[in-house]
Parts: sequence; C-alpha cells; structure tokens
Amino acid sequence: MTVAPETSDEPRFRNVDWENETGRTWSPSPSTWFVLAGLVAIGLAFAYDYLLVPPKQPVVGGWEAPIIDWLLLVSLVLFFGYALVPLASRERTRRRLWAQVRNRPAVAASVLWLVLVLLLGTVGYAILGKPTKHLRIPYQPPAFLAGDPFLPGRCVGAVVDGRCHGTLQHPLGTNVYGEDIGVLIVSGMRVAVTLSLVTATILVSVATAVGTVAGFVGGRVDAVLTGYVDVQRTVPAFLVYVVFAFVTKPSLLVLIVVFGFLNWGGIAHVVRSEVKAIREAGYVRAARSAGAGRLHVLRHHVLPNVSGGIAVATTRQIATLILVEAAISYLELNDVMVRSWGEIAASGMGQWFPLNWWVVAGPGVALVFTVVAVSVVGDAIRDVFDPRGVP
Amino acid sequence: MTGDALLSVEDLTVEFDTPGGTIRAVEEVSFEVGSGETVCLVGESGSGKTVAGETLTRLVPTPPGEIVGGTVRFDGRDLTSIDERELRSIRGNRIAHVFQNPQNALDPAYTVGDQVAETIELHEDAPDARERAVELLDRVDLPRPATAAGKYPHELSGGVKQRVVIATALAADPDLLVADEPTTALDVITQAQILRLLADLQAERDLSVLFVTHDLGVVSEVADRVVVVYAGRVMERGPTEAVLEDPAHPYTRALLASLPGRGESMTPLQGSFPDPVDRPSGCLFHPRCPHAVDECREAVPTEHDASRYLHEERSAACVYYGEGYDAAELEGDTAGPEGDAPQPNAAPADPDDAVEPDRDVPGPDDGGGDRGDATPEPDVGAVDSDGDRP
Amino acid sequence: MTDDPLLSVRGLKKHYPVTEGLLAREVERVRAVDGVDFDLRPGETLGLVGESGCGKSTVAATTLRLEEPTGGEIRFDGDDVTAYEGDDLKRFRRRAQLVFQDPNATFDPRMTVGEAVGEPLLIHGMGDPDRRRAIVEDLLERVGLSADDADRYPHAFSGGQKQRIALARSLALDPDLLVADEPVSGLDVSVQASVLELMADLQETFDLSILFISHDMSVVREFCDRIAVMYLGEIVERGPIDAVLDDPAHPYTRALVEAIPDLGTDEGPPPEPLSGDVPDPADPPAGCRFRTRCPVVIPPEDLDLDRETWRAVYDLRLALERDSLDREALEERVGTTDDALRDGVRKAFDVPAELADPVAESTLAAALDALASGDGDAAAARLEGTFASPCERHEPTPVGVDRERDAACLRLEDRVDGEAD
Repeated sequence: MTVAPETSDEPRFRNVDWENETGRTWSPSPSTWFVLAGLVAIGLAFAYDYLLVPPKQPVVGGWEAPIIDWLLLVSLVLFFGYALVPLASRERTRRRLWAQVRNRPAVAASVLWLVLVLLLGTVGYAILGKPTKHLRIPYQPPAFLAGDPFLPGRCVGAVVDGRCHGTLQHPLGTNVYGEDIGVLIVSGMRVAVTLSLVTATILVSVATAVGTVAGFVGGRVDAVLTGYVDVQRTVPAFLVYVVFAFVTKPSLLVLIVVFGFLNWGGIAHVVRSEVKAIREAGYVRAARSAGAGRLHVLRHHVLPNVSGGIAVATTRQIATLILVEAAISYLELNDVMVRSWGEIAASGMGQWFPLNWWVVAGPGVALVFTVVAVSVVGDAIRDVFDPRGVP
Repeated sequence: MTGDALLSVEDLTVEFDTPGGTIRAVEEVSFEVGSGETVCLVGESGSGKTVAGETLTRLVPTPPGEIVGGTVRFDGRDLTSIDERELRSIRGNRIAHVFQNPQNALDPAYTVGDQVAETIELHEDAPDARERAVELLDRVDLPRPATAAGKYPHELSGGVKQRVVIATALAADPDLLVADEPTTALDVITQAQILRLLADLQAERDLSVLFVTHDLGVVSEVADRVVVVYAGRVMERGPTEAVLEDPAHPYTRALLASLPGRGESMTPLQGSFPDPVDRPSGCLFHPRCPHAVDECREAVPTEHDASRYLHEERSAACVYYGEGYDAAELEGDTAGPEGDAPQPNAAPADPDDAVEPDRDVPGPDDGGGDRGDATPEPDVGAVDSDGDRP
Repeated sequence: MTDDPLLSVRGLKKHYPVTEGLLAREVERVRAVDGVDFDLRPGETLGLVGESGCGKSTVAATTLRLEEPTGGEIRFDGDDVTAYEGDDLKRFRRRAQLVFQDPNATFDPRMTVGEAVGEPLLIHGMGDPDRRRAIVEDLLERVGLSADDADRYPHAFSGGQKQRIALARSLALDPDLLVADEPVSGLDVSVQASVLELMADLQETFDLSILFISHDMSVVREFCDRIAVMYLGEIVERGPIDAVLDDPAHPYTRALVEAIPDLGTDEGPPPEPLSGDVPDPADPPAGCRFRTRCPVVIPPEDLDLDRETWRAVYDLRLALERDSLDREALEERVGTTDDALRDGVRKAFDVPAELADPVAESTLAAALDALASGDGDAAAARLEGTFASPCERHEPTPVGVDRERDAACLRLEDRVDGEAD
C-alpha cells in the first residue's frame, strides 16, 4: 500500500491558510442545548411561582411546588441531558447498551424496573396524586388472598369463615388508614426518584469538579484536596442527619443535602484516579503535541472518559442511600408526611404485624427491587463504557 | 530425528471459544526437540507460536482453550492426556518456561530470592533452598547475588529481572526450557548478554531449548533448527542456516525480503494477516502469495520435502515442492535474502566453510570464492567487514 | 534548498530533580539529557539511537516543547523555540508534529478515527465540520485506508493500520518536521516494512524532515540518512548512516553494532557482548560516561598490561570504589581465609594470579591485603593511584573523524596518549 498518486492539485490539507482560521464557533453538544432549554423553562416557572403566586398556594393543579420539587425538576433535566442523551446519541454506546440488555436478563429486568419507577414516580404520581384515606376499610388484604380474622375494620370483599377476602378494588391491599397499597407504592416511587436524582446531582457535580481539579492540576492542590476528602470521608452522614433531625425537624430535603454534600468523597476519589490515568494517556499526549490547551483536553478527552467510573460509584451511593432512608424511617427519624417505602413499611410494623404483612411486603419488595436494579444497571453502564469490552 | 527426540509434538491442534466464534490458534503443528538441541518456533502475531509453547504443559486455560487433536510426547508419555498431578511434577522439574515480560512472571510481593527458592521447594525437600537460590542467581551473572536475593522485583532493571526469571526456570534442573520471546522487551546489548547466558547454561547443563520468537536475527544466533509458523500452521522447517539463507516457502521468502536494513530494497509483504475467525480456504498464505495457483485455494498443502541436497532435512508446506511443480519458479518475484536469486543448483554449502573469515571485497581478477559462486556477496550485515577484532 | 538546518539543537539539557520532604529539597537530579547537539537539514532523516534510558525519547519531547528543557538552545528555522509563547508556540506546533510508538494508546477509544485525525484541525480553529471531514477523508486515502474508515473506531483496526492513521493525523496540519518516536517498534516484522515504506513515500511527497528515534538499528539503517548515537544523556557519535554502522568510531557504537543478531550465518560465533548495565543517570561516571563498560578504556601511560587484563583490573577497582563487591557471597563461596579471599576476588573479576607488570602487581597485592583485612576503603585508595585512567579525568568532546562525522572519544583526541587503535 503506497500513497495515492496526486490527483489534480495540491492535497487539501495543504491549502489551508492557518493564520486566518479563527472559526472557533461555539458548538455545544445536543445535551447542552437540551439542558439549557430545560433550565430556562424551569427558571421561568420558578419566577412565576415566586413572584406571582401567593405563598402556600398551589401553582397548577394541586401542586404546591416546595423547594424539593424544584430541585427534582432541575435534576431531571440534568439527568436526561447529561446522562441519558449521551448514552443514546452515540451509535456505539447505543449498540453496546443494547447488547447488555439483550444478553443479560438481569440487566433487562433492572432497566425495565427503573424505567417503571421513573415514570410512575413522576408522571404516575402527578396523575394519581396523594393516596386517599378510607378510614372504614383498613387492612384489606391483597386480591385473591384472605386476611386474618382478628384484623379490624369492614371488609370490601367477601367474608368467609370470618376472614376478609381481598378484591381487585385494592389489588395490593390497604394499610391502617385504608389507603391503597398500590397508590402508596407509587408515592414511594416518587420519594425514591426525588431522593436518588437530587442527591446524585449534588454528588456527581461536586465529586467531578473536585476530582478533576485534583487529578488534572496535581501537586499541592491535589494534596490539599485529597487531604480534605480523606477527612470528610470519616464523617458519617447518617449521624449528621440524625443530629439535624433532632435539632430541627426531620425532612427529606435535609437528608438529601446532608448525604449529597458529605458522601461525594468516594466518587471524587474514583474521578481523580481516572483523570490522572487519562492525563498520561497516549491520546492526550497526541492532542497536546498538536497544540491542544488544557480546556480542550478536559472537554474532549478527560470528561468523556471518566463517565464509566462515575456511573458505578454514584449508583452505589444511591443504592445505599435508599436503604439508609428506609432505616431512618424505621427509626422514626423521618418526616412522616413523606410517604417513602420505608415509612410505609415501618408504619405497618406496629401491633398488628405480622397479620398485616402486605403493608410491609409491598413496599419492601419495591425497595429490594430498586436497590438491586440500581446496582445492576450501574455495573452494566460501566461495562458499556469500558473500552476493553467487546463491541 | 525420530524416536529419540526428547520432545515430540505431532499434529497438535488447539482451539479457542470466543464470543466472535471458534478460533483455531494452532492447527496440525508437529515438531521435535532433541537432547541438547535448540529449536526455534518462528512466527508473527496470530501465528499460534505462543499458544503452541504454552500447550506443551497445558498452561493454556481450558475454557476457553481446548486441545482438540494431536499428541505431545515427552519422556515416553503423552502430556495432553496425563492427569493433573503427573503434569505438575513435570512442570518446572522437567519442562520449564521463561516468558516474555519478566514483570509478569515475578510476584511483586516476594523477594527475588524467595521466588527462586520456591521453585526448588516445589519439587523437592530442600532445607538449603535459600543458599541454592543465591547460587543460581550468581550463575546467571547477577552482580552481588546475595544482596540481590533480598530485593523485590520492582527494584531491579529489566535485564536483571529476566535473569531472575531464567534462574527460577532452571531452579529445578529441567531437561527442556521453553522460552517465549525472552529478550523481546530488552535492549539489544542486554539481549546479547541474555542470549550468551542461555547458550552457556545450555552447554553446561545439556539443556534443550524451544525458543519461541518473531525475531529472525535471534533465530539465526541461537537455533539449530527452525520451524516457521503462519496463522497456526507450519509453513517450513529445516536447519537454521539453510532456511535463512535459502528459504523455501514463499512466506519465509517474503518475510526475509521485508526485513529492514539489509542493504537491498526492502519489499513489504502484501495483504494482511488472516482473520482468525474467518480463515482462507486451502493454503492460509495464498491470498498474499505472489505465486498462488488454483490448487492453493482448494486444498491445504501437505509438507513436501524441500531439501536441496542429501542429508538435509527440510520441508515446506507448498505445492511447488510437490509433484508436477517446479520450485525454481518461486525465485521470480520476491528477492531472496542475498539479493540476486541464488542458483538452486549451486554446490551445497559446507557448514565448515561458514566460518571462513575471508570477506575482502574481490578485485576484478579474483576468481570465485570457495563455494564456486560467481561473486562473493558483500556483507550486508552490520558486523565489521573484516573478521578481525580492532 | 538551502543548507541551513531546519532544526538546530545545541547543549540541550533536561534534568529531573528528585525531591524529598515538604519543602521539596532536591536530593538528586536525574540527568536524562545532559548536553546534546545535533542538526537536522530540510528533507533529511536523522536517526537517534540508543538503549532505553539513554534519553532519546526525552530529546523528542523537549525538542517539541512537550516538556520544558532545563537548558540549551533549540532553533527551528532560525528562531529560538525555547522562547516561544502563546501564538508563536501554537504556530510551532503546526509545523512540528510527533508520531508515537504505541498505536494502541495513541487514540481516544471514545472518538472515531475521523474525529481523531481531524482533532488537530479543530484545535487550530477549523470550526466547520464538513471542511474537516473532507480533509480527513483525503488524508486517510493517502495513507492507504478508505474514506469510510473515518466513521469507525480505533479498536477495529490492526496495529499497522492504526499507525497509518497516526501518520495521517500527524500530516493534518501540514508540518515541516516530524518527530517519530519508535514508530514501528510495536509492530510485527512484516508490517514494519509497509509502514516504513509509507513513511518514506510521505516524506518524499510532502517534503518532510524526520527525526527518527529508535533502538532498532536495522530499521534505522533502512530509513535514515544520518545517525546520532546516544549514551546516558549524551551523543557519542554522529555521521552518515552507512559510514557509522559499517565502521563505528566510538566504542559504544561498535558494541551496539556487534550486539545486533545478524542474519548472516558465516561470521562465526557472535562477539562477547558488553558487560554490566547502564549506570544511574542521576549519578553518571566522571569524565567519559562510557568508561565503566568500555572495552578499550585507556590505561595509564606507564602501565604494561594487555587490554583484557587491564579492563579486568579496572572493573575490580570500580567495584571496590562503588562498594559493590559482594563480600558475603564471595566468602561463602571461597571461604574466609585471607588467601582464599584474595584469590577469590581475582577469579571473580578474571584477573590473572599474577600481573605481568611488577608495579601493578605489587599495588594490586597490597590492595587485596587491605581488603582481606577488612579495609575496603584503603584497598580502593591504593588502586586509585596506579590504575587511574585518563578517561576519568577528561570529558570527551566531539572530534571530527572526517568531514561528515564526529565522535566523542578520548582515543580520537591527539592530546591524550593511549594505545593506538
């Protein structure tokens, strides 16, 4: 194979007048467009709420728009823009993602479950709204099952041998307030989504910023940042939350903020080591020898290549966080108005347990599914981004 | 060489099961290594030479690898079928391996002395293993062996590490050493030192060596006989001098012609290596061979005798050495290593003549050299043109 | 075409300080490149060879200012590169490009080949993706691939193909100078030839000057016009390729050339390779850096010993000086009596039982006595007097061997007396 003979004139790359090439057009990626559009929309809505709607009044429908909901909206936009869109837009990543789903049933099931949670937790919740209390029909058993005769309350379905039978009106049964378990699970989904996305946004933002600076700049800056991170990692977020819960009142927002701003150390560590490795990589040297500045290297080579590590580390934190929230609910240190799965399950573990087992089982199963699904998907994403994998 | 060979590999075939398909890394490869001999397995990427070397003692992990055919006869036993315990008593003790990257062969958590001693202790009850380890390190020319024994691998240079690996391999006094690219990662002077060391050790201990490499220069220096492999099959085999000076198989010819720095025009090989999953039909080299004919595509060529004279044991897996073809046709396109096409009917090269240092460039009156060639070729190698030391 | 060199390097130094403690106190200094001079003329290929650790890759990096030189001057087309900043530096980067050794590491696995080859264009301000694409496709075809390959990812290509893509990328900005750091070392033998052929074609077609760095002398011989040989941070010999490799003037070059395994089978057994390892670049030997391994190190004027014996005694002296004599191992081997030790040391260094030169013999015997009684320092001091080589006291500077060649060896300098070579 030799060089192709010169066709007509000078080869194209020789015809460039480099002194006059300034065309540094700012070309943001589709992700960035999406995120910008989304943030602008939210900003406008927030301004409307803040300036025009009187306090404590719902903005639209029954939605009162507390701070946490705004944070959820922002996180959703960032999640879609910087996590989902890049996954889908590159043909190669799409193909590898599909291969993961196709070849590993656990991944397929997990993705399906998480999509379900995301949809029901946002859109579904908006439609279904808060669960309604039916105080006269507590502890209805799930459809096709029969409850213990000792359970109080009227029975919606047939009563046979003193046992109340479940109906399809409340397929998963009801709790002590007669609230439908299914609707409650959807509430729990809402909480899980909020908890996961908002915390993840904080974790990823702070960890990436700190880890990248430490790994890229190195030297004293790195030493100082790493030292700080090492100290921060010894602070138990759980206890800090408990203290806050006692001092002020317990709230989901406090939990999110405490976890988000105290638990990013592990992720920062991962980012830092990956950035350090990438900084020495052959392709970065090649870019630098072609004249690339630090910003170009960061944007085009470093950040795209650390995403795998971030995904795994973050999903691990989120899985833990969901379980921690359940524990906090069990310990009655949570905000009881927040109907998380942990809260629902915990409320069912009073005097009537285990007769009212479905009150615990329903949200409990959802909890387990979600925690496992998050971990499995995190690993699958890492495999997608791992350059060593078979394409 | 039959029957008495120390190691006799026959029709060895090894396959790998990969997500992309089944790969035949080694296909019907046969060769022998006699006592005290050095045989080289020469090939490039994908030739299967490394797999062949590792299969001898079944070091290849058995999923995904699998020996699907052939035998490996060593000391009267077939290594492909003996049980694991018997195999372990052979590994290290009778057949030892030296691998390419010394850092991969040495455990960073143990001192170098410990690792050599470990090999000794694996095969016998040796209370003096530590002392013998230091002796071995001394034998491989490590400076300050007693101190070196206490060092960790990362404290040592590449050449020193490779000596340690050799010491480990020799610790249990094996009969056969399988060395896979032991000097590829080393500088040329270190390489020369290691090759010299191996030659000395071999002579001292009557060791047989199977040398797996891609470096034809190394082959010419160490090997008595050479086996050329391509894409898993043997293309040519024979005495080293004969194969390198006067290659028979088109692949060997093309390979030698593509070596840089040899004074004549360097002719690159056309085409690219075959896809391991989708290999060509018939002769694996035919898509790149300038002399390919229909028969090459249709059937895998058997190894035909390619000897140029009596008592030479050479063969090439090429139809041109079979019935109905004339091997002289191969002299056409690709230049042989000596520039002009060597006359196939020249008087046989007497091995003793090879030592003749008389290499002065002849004047016009100078008759032919001792070999009856028309003009002695000028030395294109990089060694001093007069054989004397300055 | 003028005769002025395109690239002219004088006294290039690159040192890496090793520091300790919070205040970064320098404890030692690795002299990777310690005073290197060379010229590269337009259209020429200069090969820079040496073993690993000799500093040749560092020369490549510093010449292109990928690392900042510690000292020296680098002139590219007449201007001092070390003074470049900002736009000037960027302009320089367009004109001088680097091709790396490892084709597998040189591409971002997340970018397509087209994006990788077009990246230099993007960096220097070509914002229009269509223009970039057109240039990229043209380049890919010129290196023997097809335009469609631009959409594929690096892992889909073989090592040889990746190196072709790397060459395409290096041409994107239309450079004048190409620095190729072991460009074919990671490739199969049969593939090396085709990549070298491509490089030669590209050089001729696009008028490139190439600094070719390699440890493989055969490849350098094939490809380069001139060669410079490096040892421990310095250049020891320079000249036209065939002249230097056929008849080396410097003993190190000779050792390198002799160590190359040669395909010709009629030269008899290969010569004895050089012994020992390259010294620590943080602590190079005083005077000529090669003297610790040089087979022809110059003996003192009045000494009457044959060359091998002299080298053996010199090694013994060096070992004592550096305190690298492994006394324990020796004692274990030969016993602890004084006699056994003296004989053992001689044998370990291949020194005969009695030296021909009586003065030398008495000094050596006295030194060994001192060693046997445990005083290594005294032993070393004794040897230093009688067995001092001029190669320790003077640093060799390049001496012209003929009009086109020079080598830095004291044997070539008239002012130093020594055995005629």
